[in-house]
Amino acid sequence: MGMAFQTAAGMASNGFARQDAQALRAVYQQLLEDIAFSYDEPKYQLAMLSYALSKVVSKPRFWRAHKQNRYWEETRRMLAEMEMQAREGRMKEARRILSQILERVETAEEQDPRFVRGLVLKARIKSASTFYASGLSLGRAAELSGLDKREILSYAGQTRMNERLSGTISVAARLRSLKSLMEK
Amino acid sequence: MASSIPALICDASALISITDSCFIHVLYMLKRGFSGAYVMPPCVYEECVVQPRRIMADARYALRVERAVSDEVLDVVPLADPGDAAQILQWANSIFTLEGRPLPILQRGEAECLALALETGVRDLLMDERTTRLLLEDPAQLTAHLQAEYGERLRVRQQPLDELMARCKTLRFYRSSEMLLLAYQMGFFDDYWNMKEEALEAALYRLKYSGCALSEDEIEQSMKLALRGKNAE
Repeated sequence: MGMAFQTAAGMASNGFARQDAQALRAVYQQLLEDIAFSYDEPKYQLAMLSYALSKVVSKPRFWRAHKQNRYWEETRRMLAEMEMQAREGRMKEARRILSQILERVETAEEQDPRFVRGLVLKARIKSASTFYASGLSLGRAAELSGLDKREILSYAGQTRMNERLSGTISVAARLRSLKSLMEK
Repeated sequence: MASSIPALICDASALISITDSCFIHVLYMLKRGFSGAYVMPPCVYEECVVQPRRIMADARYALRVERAVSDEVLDVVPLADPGDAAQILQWANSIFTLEGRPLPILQRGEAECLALALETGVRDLLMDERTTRLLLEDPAQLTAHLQAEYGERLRVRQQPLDELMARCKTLRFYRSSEMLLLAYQMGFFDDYWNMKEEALEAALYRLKYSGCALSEDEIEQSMKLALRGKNAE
């Protein structure tokens, strides 16, 4: 249900080939919405890859750092190959290539010491925070992203997600009730 | 656990905020005057102790909770019937649909806390994560929020919502911020002398940045309450 893997793979491949960060983010967002219903490992990995690649194409230092050795050209070729394998029903092969591309992206940014946390890990944290901010529970966000609740809370606490909703019960009312409980 | 014993059921989110902010001793302080128990279901113990203890970067948080268990400040209470949590999860995760497909919004840990409350007759829960609290305190607001995220495609199924609310509407939720505020009123920051209000505000922000679902407006409300208490002295 939702966007088929091969369709998403094609969009990610085309987006990367055009260096279109917005298109890659759109794939990421759509896949996250699908995953909110039921976890799908290949879709989740593809979502993380799409997010990471959107960062790659939008950061000139990444793009230029590897342009010389045709690093990204090879990545583009692998994406196209992954799409083709998926369209021809060879999902096992498509997934194998997907894992290789993810590893490749992680290896690429290891060479830039300014990026302390991996691009793919950042994508996972971002996706978890997005799930939580959208209205899914913390536990559900952790379940979908495979991350620890602490990691998600730590990131979410730095955002303004809690400013967007109005309080349901006043602090004073909660405090009165709590005090009454604690005095028992 | 008998329902006649007062208790506060602790969710992982609150224990994480408290340990991350180094305020576990707020629980110790409030426990002194409390004849009841702070309890957690096994799932929360797993999330707060067993899993993070395996990771050196997180082990110290796990050990703080484990020590509180050893000190009998926190207790682990198993569910009498795991089916209760499964039922709550089934209801909660059937309320919202998107293009006809159910949109699961809760996870086992949150469901176990609610189930433990219902099984034991305890009405009070300590929970920093906001979705569960919002679902039961103001489902209309949660619905509006989800609709803003997912658009007109989102629908609400009334029957599972009614089932859940029938059982859970009397539950009361607190956050680690309210625990801290109460501790402040009981003298937790007194050794900061004339800086104790500043210490409270800094501590509330620390909890917020650790993930407690607390808005800046609520911090302001908390500070007004704290200062009101000071002026009454």
